[in-house]
Amino acid sequence: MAHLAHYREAHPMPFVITHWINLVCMILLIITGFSIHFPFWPMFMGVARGVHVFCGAILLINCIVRVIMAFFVKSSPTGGTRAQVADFKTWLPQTDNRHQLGAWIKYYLFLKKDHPLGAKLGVPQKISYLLIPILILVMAYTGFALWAPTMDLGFFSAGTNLVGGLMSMRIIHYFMMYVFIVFMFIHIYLANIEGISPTLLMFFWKEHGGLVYDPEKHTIVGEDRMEH
Amino acid sequence: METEATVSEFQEMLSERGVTRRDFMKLCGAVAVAAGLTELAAPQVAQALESSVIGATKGNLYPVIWIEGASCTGCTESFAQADAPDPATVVLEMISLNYCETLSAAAGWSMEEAKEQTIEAGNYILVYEGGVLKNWGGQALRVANETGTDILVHAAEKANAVVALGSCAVNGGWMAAHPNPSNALGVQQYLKEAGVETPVINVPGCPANPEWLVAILVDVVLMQRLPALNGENKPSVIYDQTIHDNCQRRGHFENGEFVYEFGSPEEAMGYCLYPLGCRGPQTKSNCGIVRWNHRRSWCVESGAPCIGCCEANPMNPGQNWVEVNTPFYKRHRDLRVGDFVFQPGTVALIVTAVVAGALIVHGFGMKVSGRMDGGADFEKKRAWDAKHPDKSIGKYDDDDAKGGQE
Amino acid sequence: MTRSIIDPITRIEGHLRVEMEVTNGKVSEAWVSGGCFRGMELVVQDRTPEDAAQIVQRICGVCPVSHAHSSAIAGEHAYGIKISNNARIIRNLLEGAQFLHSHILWFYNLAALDYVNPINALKADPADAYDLALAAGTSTNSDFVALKERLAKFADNGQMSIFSGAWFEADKGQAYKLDPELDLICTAHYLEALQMQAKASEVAGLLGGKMPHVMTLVPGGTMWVPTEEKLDDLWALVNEIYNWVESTMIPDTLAIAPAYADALNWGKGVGRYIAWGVFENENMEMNDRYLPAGVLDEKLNLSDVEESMITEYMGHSWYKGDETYTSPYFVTEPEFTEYYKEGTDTVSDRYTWVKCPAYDGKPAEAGGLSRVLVAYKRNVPFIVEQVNAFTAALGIQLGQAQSTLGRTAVRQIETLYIAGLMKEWVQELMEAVKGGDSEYFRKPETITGSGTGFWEAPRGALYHHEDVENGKIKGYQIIIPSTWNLAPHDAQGNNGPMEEALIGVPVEDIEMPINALRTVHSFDPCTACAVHVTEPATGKSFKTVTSPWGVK
Repeated sequence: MAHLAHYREAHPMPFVITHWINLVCMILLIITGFSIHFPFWPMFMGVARGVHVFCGAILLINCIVRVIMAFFVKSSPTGGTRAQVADFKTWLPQTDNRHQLGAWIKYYLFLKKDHPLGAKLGVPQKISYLLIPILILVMAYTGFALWAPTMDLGFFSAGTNLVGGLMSMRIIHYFMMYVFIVFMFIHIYLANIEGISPTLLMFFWKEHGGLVYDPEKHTIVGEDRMEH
Repeated sequence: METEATVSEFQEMLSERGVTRRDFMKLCGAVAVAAGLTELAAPQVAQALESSVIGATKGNLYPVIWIEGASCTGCTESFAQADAPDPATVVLEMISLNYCETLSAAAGWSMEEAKEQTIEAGNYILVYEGGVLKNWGGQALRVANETGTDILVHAAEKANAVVALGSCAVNGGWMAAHPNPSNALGVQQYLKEAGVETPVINVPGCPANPEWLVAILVDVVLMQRLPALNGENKPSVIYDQTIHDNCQRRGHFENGEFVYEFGSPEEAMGYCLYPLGCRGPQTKSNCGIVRWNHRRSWCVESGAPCIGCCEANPMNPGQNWVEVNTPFYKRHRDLRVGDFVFQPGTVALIVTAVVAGALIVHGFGMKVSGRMDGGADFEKKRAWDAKHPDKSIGKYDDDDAKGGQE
Repeated sequence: MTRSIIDPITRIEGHLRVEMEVTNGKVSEAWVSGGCFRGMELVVQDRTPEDAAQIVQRICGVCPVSHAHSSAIAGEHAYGIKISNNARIIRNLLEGAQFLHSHILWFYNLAALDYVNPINALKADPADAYDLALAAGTSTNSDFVALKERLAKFADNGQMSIFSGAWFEADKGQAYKLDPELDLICTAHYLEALQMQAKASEVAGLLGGKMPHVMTLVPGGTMWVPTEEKLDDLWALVNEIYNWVESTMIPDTLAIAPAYADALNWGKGVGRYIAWGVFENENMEMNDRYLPAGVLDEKLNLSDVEESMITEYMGHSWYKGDETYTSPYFVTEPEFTEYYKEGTDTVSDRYTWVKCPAYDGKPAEAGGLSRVLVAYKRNVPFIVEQVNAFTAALGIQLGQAQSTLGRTAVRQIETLYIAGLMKEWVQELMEAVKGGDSEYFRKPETITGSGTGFWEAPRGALYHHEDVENGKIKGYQIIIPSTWNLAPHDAQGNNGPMEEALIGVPVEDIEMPINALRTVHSFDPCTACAVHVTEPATGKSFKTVTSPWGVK
């Protein structure tokens, strides 16, 4: 029992919802995207296109809402505590993260035996998660540039011209999907490889006991077994 | 020919009344003479020709010069397939096609003279077919001992407008595809480099559909205006929508009814050619509406996926339809890095598979190192803190007890 | 001695210059120069054989189907595919449609203006023209009165349009020898031909999506699948074209020919002929094609085609080196040098973008005349019968067909033959469909190999060769009919076929050498086709900046 306690304060309900929306939209977008690229399940084509555009729009809106909420909703800066700060601060470099990038990499490469201390989000996580909104924006942009009703708007057609036409735009859109897939692989792997408690908390708001971390002292100060 | 039916019907009526066709013809000849047309026309032509080889410099016909650059003559050929108005009507009753390498009766110096005189008289349109070749100082194309590039600049300078006809004229077309051995580019870009400011109308397509050219000529000749152009100087009415938007097989696309193999029973049912790489969704032109060869058919109707021959960015020869669309029958083009040519999907799959594989291997590592159940034990203290006790980030309980030293 | 130059040669496909030395009113020396380099073989490199069949069509807008066909055959040989019977018939129909289109367009709309003066038709009496047409047995679909009025209105306006700078007054007004009535008939047929060539293209459009540059011809067969309504359109169009060709083209030729009988006396080329054969029979044998393959020597002795006999030499063309290469292993690198020797008006040693091919070490002529002569020698019944009737009608020997007029005339025999075959093939296709045969395309089982496509374009023998590795082309080679005909001097200094044909042609007016123009047109040259280059074996010779998005 080495992990920190998983408290709901780390992932307040609004973020549980946006995370769910992300999950559902991304999976549907990937499935329908493959189907649109090449109709493996032909009868599904009409539905696939509708769902793809709809989910794309939802994902974009969800992304914007999530970013705005980061400034108004509080969440825990680290695991193992019920203390909260404005959520956006947990995305930026925190004292808890300092000098720990090397430690994380060493740990994952099995060059370091102990689990590094850190904030709710480790350094590699922060970098990759911050890329996601940017990726979503790129996907939305390239997607609208390929969608007939919007492709001729100057904002999109200028970009199409810049990258060398609709074929190039399609390839960028397609490549980016793989970036999402790769991200999801890594994300799911890292979130679950040491146990499914983070997943239970993120999706079902189910708390789980563990070590208690003091964000003021930046260190583990005890244990909350929570009846386990 | 168009009067054939009426004449023969009329002929039947006449023969019922005992008038032979020959009698009828004689009568007609007499009427024409009375109208004063035929007898006068011949000397008038002779008179006009005394001062120039192009005849009258002014008249009812709009002067046009048609130059073939590095072309396959396909766009001229295509023009010969125009439906309405037909090519004869165009060259006899709409425009005075004073210079056209494929259709002109003249040859050699008198041909060049016809061009010179037309340029001098001014108020003409230049139709330019084929690519502009820059290699060897323009010598990749030589006509009348001049380079193709000089000829273009000279004819374009005084023109009212230049019609860049066909994808080659718009941005070099297939000639600009890798490795672009003759250094091909489009008319608009070349004229810009040469400082010629004559407006260019881009009409891509391989070849350009004759109805497109005829529509532009009608606009110019009968309506005295240039057609509305989009940002790439292509006529909006032709090039602002995709093939897919107006495709007769679009319904099958929506229904999810596809042709997966050439010449299959699905093709006989007219299903959608999308899985065979059809470029309709990303190629802008109205082929499916105007159709080809007297509107008899068009690519998709014949069972062939669109290969995107209208794709042409006037200012970027690299974005030519061959480079952008090959392999034609796959959904993606090939990408090229140096000599390495690959499909984007293949590379994306390989990268993803490598990542997935690495994660699986890593997972075994986690299992072996016993981290799967909650991870390894936490470090008691950050390594950095241990080395820099004076600047320590964490305030560790044991530090308090032991005075900050481990 | 004087120089006579025709540049540009008009009413052909592409850019061609002819320069002639005229001695005592006759051409004594000639240089034929192809004026445009585009580099097709380099562009298809690293692309698929399926792409190549599409791209190579863009060599020529007049004979795209032949290029697609030849390329597809090369691809099928590389892949080891034998196409289905339906695909064979449909491809014959597609090819035939293009031949009809090309021959009709060439005869009436390109070559005829060397013989027919539409302005002179203004003097015609339409009634007499009608009588003359009946007497000549040619068609009278057009209203001669209305046509004359139309021409009069045109002339009345005074702008010359496509007749600007015409040579109608060449040779002191003696060059055009037809009566006004025959000029009127032929002008009517010029306009009808414009419609009929479009009609033939409509067949190609129906089967190929669009023409020029058809879409459905692919290595492995065809993408086109007949349905009832497509078949009935096909049937009707093919019949309409046949009826017109049958009632018009040969009678017109026989009506015009006597006025220009002089042109039977000159214009013979090198006297050696090559035909690779066109229109597959069921057995798919080259020698058994509807127009069979064969090679004729100076004495018109027939032999079979051998690939290794084909060589290419570029010592007189704008390419590096002066070696002779044997098919299919050509290597060339383009390099332009001046046309004239510096500071003189002497033509340089290298004077054209066209390379110099040879068969058995000697230049040879390709084209309609070659095909008809080979078919005659191979005893194709229709050809034998028609050629015999034709030479009898003109009162000439077969040998005299090797002349400017002969070369111009025999193409009409071929046109009629193909127009008839089209009807047969439609019937054959209908039978096959009725019998339940529904195979149109065969997939490759292996995608590595080499293949050659021996075929014919309307202008003559066409050769495509490709080496394919894992579905990607690693080497491509094309020899075009006009490359044979427009060849420059060979290594021994012998003239190319067209150069040779020009020798001895009478030139009265060096500014308007109309007989030379007639001779050039008799070959139906296609210059854009003629100029090519292969991938230099020496590595990179073109400086291009590449990015994943292509050439910038």
